Amino acid sequence: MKTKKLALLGLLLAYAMILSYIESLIPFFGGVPGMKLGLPNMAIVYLIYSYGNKEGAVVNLLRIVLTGFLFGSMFGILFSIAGAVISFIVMCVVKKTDIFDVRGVSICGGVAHNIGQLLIAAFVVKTSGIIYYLPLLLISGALCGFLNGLIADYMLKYSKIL
Amino acid sequence: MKEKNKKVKSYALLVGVVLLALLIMLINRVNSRNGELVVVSVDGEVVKELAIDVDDEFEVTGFDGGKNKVVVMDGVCYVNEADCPDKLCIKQGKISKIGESIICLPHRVVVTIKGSEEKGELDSMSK
Repeated sequence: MKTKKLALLGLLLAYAMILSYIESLIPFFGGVPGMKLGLPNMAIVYLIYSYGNKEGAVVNLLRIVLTGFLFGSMFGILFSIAGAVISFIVMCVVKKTDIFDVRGVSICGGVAHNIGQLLIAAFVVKTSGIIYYLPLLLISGALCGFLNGLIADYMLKYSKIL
Repeated sequence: MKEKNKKVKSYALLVGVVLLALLIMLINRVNSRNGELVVVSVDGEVVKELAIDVDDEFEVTGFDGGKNKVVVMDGVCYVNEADCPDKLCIKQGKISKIGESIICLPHRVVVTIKGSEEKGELDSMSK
C-alpha cells in the first residue's frame, strides 16, 4: 500500500508539472499580471480530496520548485509560491467548512490564487492602482477554478482504484 | 441529497463571484473620467509626469536597468517598446481613464493615469 501511494503521488506530481508547462505555453488574454488558467490546481484539488492536505501541500510545493527551475525564473518561483500558498490554504479551509463540493473548493482556490498574486504584484511595484484589475481576475479565477474543479470531479469519479 | 446541495451551492458561488466582478466593473465604468496626467513610477518613486493631451515619448529605466518606452498620443497612453521577457506591458494596451494603469512587473514600472486635482497633491508632497 505504501509503495502504491508513493507511485501515485509521483504520478500526480508529474501530471501537475506537465500541466504547469502547458499553462506556460498558453498566453492568457489581456496581459493582466497574475492571470493564469491554474491548470495544475486540478491535480492539487484531486489530491486533497483523494489523500489529504499534507500530501497536497508536498506535491504542490515540489511542483512549483521543479517547474520553476525547469521552465521559469527565480522571480517566477517566488511569485507563484505566494499565489499557490494562499490558494492552498484557502482551499483547505473551505473544504473543512464542508459547504461546497470539489467545484466550489476549486473556485475558491482559483479566486484566492489570483487575488493573492495581485496583492503580491501591488506590493512589488508599490502601487494600489493594480487593484483596477480585480474584477477581471475575479472572473477568470472563478471560471478557471470551476473548470478545474469539474475535471477534478470527473477524475475522482472515474479513478476508484486509487 | 447533501452532496447535491453542495453542488448547487458551488454553482451559486460561481455565478455570485462573476456577478460581483461585473458589478465592480460597471461601477468603475460609470465612475470613470478621462485623466489629465500620466504618472510614471519605478519601484514606487515617481520619475516622470506627462500631460496626456500633449503627444510625447518617454523612455523609462526600470529597477534592473531594463527599458520601457511610454508613448502619449491623441489623449491615450501606451507602452510600445520594452526589453522585458514577457512584454505584458505592451499587451496591456492603451489607457486614458483615471485609475487605469500599465504595469511592468520585472522592471517595477507603473504608468498610471491621474486627474488634475491629484497633481497639486503630488506637488505639495514633493516640496
